Amino acid sequence: MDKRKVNGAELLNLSAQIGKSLVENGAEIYRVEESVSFLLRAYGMEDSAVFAIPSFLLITLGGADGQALTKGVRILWHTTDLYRLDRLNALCRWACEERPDLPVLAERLRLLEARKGYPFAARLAACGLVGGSFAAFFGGGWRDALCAAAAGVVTGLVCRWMDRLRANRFFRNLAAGMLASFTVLLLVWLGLGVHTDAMIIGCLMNLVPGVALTSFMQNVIAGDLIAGLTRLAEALLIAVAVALGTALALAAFPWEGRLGI
Amino acid sequence: MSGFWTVLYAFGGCIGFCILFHLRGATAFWAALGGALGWTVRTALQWYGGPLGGEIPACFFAALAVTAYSELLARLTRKPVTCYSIVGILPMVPGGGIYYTMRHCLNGDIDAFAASCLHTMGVAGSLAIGMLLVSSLTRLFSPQRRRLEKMAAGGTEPPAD
Repeated sequence: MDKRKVNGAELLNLSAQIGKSLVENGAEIYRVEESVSFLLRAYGMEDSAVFAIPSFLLITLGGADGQALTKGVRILWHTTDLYRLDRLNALCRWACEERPDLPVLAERLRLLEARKGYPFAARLAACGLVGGSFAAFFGGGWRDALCAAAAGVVTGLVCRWMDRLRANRFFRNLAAGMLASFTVLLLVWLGLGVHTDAMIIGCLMNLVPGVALTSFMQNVIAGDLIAGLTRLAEALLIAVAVALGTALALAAFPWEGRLGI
Repeated sequence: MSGFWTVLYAFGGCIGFCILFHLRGATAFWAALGGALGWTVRTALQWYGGPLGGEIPACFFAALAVTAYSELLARLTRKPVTCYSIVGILPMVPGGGIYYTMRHCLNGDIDAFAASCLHTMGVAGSLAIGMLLVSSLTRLFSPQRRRLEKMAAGGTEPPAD
């Protein structure tokens, strides 16, 4: 197996696909570069270079006859799918240890990609769970928790709708923050909830940039400042967008003096 | 004790996050436990008071605890650290801070707005620095580094975690 010559182009395409998947699903840049590098080396490509930033991946193989093969992949969207990330990581590790034929590896990758995560309904319920739990966490009662859960579901729906419309991140978070806060205020106005603050904050926990913050730090630790600073900017923008959206809802909601805010 | 209930709510919220990030089964449980752990450390320090009782130092030590836990679990279960650390940090990310900062701004209370804004950034910063310290130390001493050095010298080793 070690002595067999692999088709450079095929390996390049496959490793580009793996690298792209890793970035798309939320891997740290160092993990992407190292995983792809190790994979290329495992297949005998000693002279290779991998470069990744959150929106672009570049892989170059040095050919035996001096001809370099290069592939650049543009990465347009990101999500945080930790399960898929873990599976991709395991796939790379397996490929480095076992060095399977490329078609076998390609098939495994295809199966991995085809596997769907939790259905949308489950993720909506999770948004509700987050909203409700954190509303209670910040001092709300069980009624407040239920209202915040409903607002959490609204958050999930708005985010999905914005993603469908391909809105930019800032606007998406602004709209989600605004509509979620609006829902909370509506429910308070209807008399269904009491602690407005706890409910809004609980619901906003769906939107806070925890992932961006963690990603920023992990990239900076590894020395990938481009990716790290990109994530930091993203975290700040998300925080501002959410605050702004909530402010808009609070400012625009027709007071009737019942809210006592 | 109300402190206990908040830990439970933090755990519940983290389970929600695990679903949002598509984590399954035991991994989701351990990740959510990390979140509860972080919140426990923070609450305990704040309750105990003293020089470490402020929110910012408490969050710093909680971040240290969560990241150490995540690194340990990542090695035990052979999964990426990200799986555990993202979920573990999330309960402490200052959602409340963002909200109150915005509220002070809306009310026109600029002093409170500035104070709240700085405090929120301080909390976020302390979380980041806590993660930075633990992750840097573990990377310093991890077998990954030795493997990288072997790789550079010409061997072909699989990645560590």
